[in-house]
Amino acid sequence: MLWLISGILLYLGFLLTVSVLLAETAWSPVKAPVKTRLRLSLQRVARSQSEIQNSSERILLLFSLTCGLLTATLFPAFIQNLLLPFGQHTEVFTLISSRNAPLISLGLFILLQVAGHISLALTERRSHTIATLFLNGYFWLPLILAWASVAAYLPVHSEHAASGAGSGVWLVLLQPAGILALLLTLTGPVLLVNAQQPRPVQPVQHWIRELHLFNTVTGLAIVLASLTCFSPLEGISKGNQIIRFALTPILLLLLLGIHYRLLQYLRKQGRIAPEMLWKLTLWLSLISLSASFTGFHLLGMSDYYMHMLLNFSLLAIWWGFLVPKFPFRSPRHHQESFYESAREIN
Amino acid sequence: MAWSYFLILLLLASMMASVLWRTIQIFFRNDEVSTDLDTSQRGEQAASTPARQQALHWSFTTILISGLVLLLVAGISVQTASIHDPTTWSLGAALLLIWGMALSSGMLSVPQSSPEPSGVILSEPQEENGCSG
Repeated sequence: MLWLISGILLYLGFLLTVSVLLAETAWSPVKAPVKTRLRLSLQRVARSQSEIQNSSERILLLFSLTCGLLTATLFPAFIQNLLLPFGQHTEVFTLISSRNAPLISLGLFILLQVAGHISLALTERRSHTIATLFLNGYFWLPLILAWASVAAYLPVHSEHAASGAGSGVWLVLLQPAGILALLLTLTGPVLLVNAQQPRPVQPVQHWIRELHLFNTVTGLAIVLASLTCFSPLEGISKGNQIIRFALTPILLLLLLGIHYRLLQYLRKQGRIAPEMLWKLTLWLSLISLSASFTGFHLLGMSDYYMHMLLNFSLLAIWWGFLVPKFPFRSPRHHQESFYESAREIN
Repeated sequence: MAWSYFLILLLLASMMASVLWRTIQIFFRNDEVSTDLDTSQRGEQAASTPARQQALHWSFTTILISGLVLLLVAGISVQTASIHDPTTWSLGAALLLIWGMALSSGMLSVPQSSPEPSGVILSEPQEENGCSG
């Protein structure tokens, strides 16, 4: 109990520090010492808080912050439901103890994230147009599809469920298309706002958004390292569990890396079209959902190697046939300036 | 038991949020730092954006599709049921309906072929003055 509370407090402190530091990147250079940046960022947030006159906006921001903090305090329960085999839960912290617990945990996590992002977008609606996109039902559709496609691979602890293989292969290998879609849709608001030049951000909103980003990445790392429906129902070896726990921080760093590489790529493209990006994500999540359905019901596959094959071939099909139809063309002036600079080099 | 645990966590989180909010507001007050990145451009953009683009589009199709997806999620507990099972039929029909609705409502179409924005899609902001501005 005591180590759990101290663990939560440690994570919260880490989360707050990282989010405050990340929020400062929009204003001051990265090279400044950490302490100065931390102080400057907090002062900016305080200044922008005092500028908010509207009390409903303040309440919405507080609600968004609450969603973020609640997600952070729920992580121990998520870890228990997703990483430990069914039946090994201790008495104290079983938030959900039904046989669908992993599924419900993932759903709760996603609901909290969406609530946080929507309440943030409501406060920003007047200042930039991209916030309107986040308030559309259309924007969150790929998320629910990606959730359904990934959720099919989580264990459901029933005799009907697939349990063919001897050991678990993690979701990152089993369902690459769905995981990619889930990452894209959950980090979508952060990605789209930060890829704009200049960034249409205000300190408070930006800070809370970075906090949500860090929560998202942590949650997804837990999901990736979690048990799948292919793991055996009766106990899993100690070594397997230790590897899984050790893998979580590595996966977290990997996901953060993917996010920032994507952001960098989008910024290099110059002018981005948010809706185009969103259509691509919708395609991807629909395809991954179909892949889950085909794998489990039509082909009736209980062998995880076949699922891996199916998913990677679908990813290749998506990449080869669909992406060229939605060319991520940079605007003409951008290309011309590129050619000019190439000529200068020659 | 589980629900009260959730309520306690919710109460804790909301208290933490308000305490954090107050702490930052009181202890880090400094009016000399600037909060704006590009005031001029932001003001310009907000002024030049027509009201049509700030409107919201909640479409019925989206809600229908979400409902069907929830049905699919509910069907996960019969993960490896065979094709002859009626549950599998209905889940397959749900998936086909999702594809059909997404295709017919123009959500998946290429923008060049359908320049007129339908009610379903968010009206194209980037063509006139740029969402990116």
